[in-house]
Amino acid sequence: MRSFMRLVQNEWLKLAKKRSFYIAYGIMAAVVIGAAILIKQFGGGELPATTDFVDLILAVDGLGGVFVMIATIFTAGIVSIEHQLGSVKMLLIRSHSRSTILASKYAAMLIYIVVMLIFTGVLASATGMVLFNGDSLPWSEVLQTAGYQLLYTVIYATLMFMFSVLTRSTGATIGVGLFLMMFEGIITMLLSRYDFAKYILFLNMNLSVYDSGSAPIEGMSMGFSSIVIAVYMLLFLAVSFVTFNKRDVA
Amino acid sequence: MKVENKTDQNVVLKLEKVTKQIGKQTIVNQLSFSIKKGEIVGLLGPNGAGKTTTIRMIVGLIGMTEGDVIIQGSSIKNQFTKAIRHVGAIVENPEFYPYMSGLDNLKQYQRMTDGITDERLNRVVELVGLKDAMNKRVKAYSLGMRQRLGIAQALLHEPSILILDEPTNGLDPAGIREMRDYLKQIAREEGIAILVSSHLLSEMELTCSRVVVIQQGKFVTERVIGEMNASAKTSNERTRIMLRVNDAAAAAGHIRELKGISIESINRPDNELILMMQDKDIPDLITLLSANSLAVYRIADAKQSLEDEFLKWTGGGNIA
Repeated sequence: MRSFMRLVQNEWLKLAKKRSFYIAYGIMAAVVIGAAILIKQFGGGELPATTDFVDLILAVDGLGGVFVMIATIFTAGIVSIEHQLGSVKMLLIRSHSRSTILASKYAAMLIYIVVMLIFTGVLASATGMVLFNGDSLPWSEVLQTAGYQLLYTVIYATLMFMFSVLTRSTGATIGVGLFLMMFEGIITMLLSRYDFAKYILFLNMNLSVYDSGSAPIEGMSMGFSSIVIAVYMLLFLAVSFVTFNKRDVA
Repeated sequence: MKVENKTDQNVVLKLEKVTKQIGKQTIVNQLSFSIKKGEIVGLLGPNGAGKTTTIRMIVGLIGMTEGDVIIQGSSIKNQFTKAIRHVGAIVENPEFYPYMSGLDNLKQYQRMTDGITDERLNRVVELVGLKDAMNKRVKAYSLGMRQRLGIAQALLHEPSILILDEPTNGLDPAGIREMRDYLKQIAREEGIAILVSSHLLSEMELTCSRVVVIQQGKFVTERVIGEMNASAKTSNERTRIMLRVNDAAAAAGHIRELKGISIESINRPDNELILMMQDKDIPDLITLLSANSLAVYRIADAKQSLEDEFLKWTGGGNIA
């Protein structure tokens, strides 16, 4: 376990020693503070309460889309960059199985997302407290929103992790990821009249829809979506690990 | 001249009928050889002979279609983590994380193996002479410095075999010489076996104690360096001698009278002869020539270089 933690530490350092590491935080800070100022300036008389603001920033159907994009773009290269640099040859000739190496990368990616979410949440709360006041939503619901956002981001990140393993190209991974993020709405909308649509991952990823008691398609529920998500996640990870293990590294 | 079968426990690395097929193409075909402790072995072959593929199979970067590689008794196929522990390697160019310093890069590899102390890390850095460059980003390193850093990462976990793929690629003459001196020093001081692949023949001749020659993925021959020239001095074997005189044609006429000497070639413009003879006949030869008032300007070993041999083994062509 200690040796696995050291591998995760390695992966974290590979992300953190890059200059672009702080750019991701800079962008999130700009989005949070920028949104707060815009609302304050142009929001008219009705200003949101602090918790409303934090919820807006974190919600999947609020400004959370920006968070997903930033978090996945900056982790998209976690596998492919090793191939691009050629450092994968040095990484794979150590006394660790390829699965362990890949697992350490996945773990580092999850840590990155969690740290980023905490940063965004804390910054949004601080900004909200300075510029707005009052709690209309209970904080527990804000936390729940953050939880849905975390799940949503992790699913996307896992999907892109698989692409990163398969394509060995950071550019292609980011391209595919952005394409899906932009068009997932349209795709699901076009397909939602068919019955099989409820098995499409994108329709199940946002669990927050069930809070209001409605369902994207009749017959879907929180439990149903959780199972669909689990199946897809397992599939993505299985493809990633099997590919990475079998691959001839040229 | 053939190297005897090595069955003793000094064998560090052993290839057993290693084969790699990609599609219908056979890149490496039933290749077997082994390396003992303290040996520097050259893997020699023309471009496309399968050297790099062989090395990638040895370190488990690519799978093999048939056969197995045994490192310190463990199979790279079935006991990967146990076998690879004994290997330090640079496959093609040493590639690092350019945005990190040399030290941060080495620390990455330090964390990947249990029990590498900071003292060990410092010792290795000193051995490769990179102490002053450790805090620079690798981006700013020259190729020679990256090669040295590559050797440092390969030696960090005290391997019993060091595997280097084209280690002198892109190095200048001083760098090549330095690399050769390192390798010999490492083999001597750390007592580890070294496998080097290259197509630089003269380089291999100076560095290695033995070469394994492959062509089109197949084993061609295996030679102990120095043997083909040195063995003649001790035995009664005939050796190649270069003789320069003032009149090659006349000299050749007289030499034919002597028994036990054969003329391999006569170079008239330079008045040089290449002879096959025993060392003990040289005094007779000189006496004969001076008795016939032929002037002898030079008598020297006509060494057959590894290059000549190599061309013979691989049938010329395809040499980079």
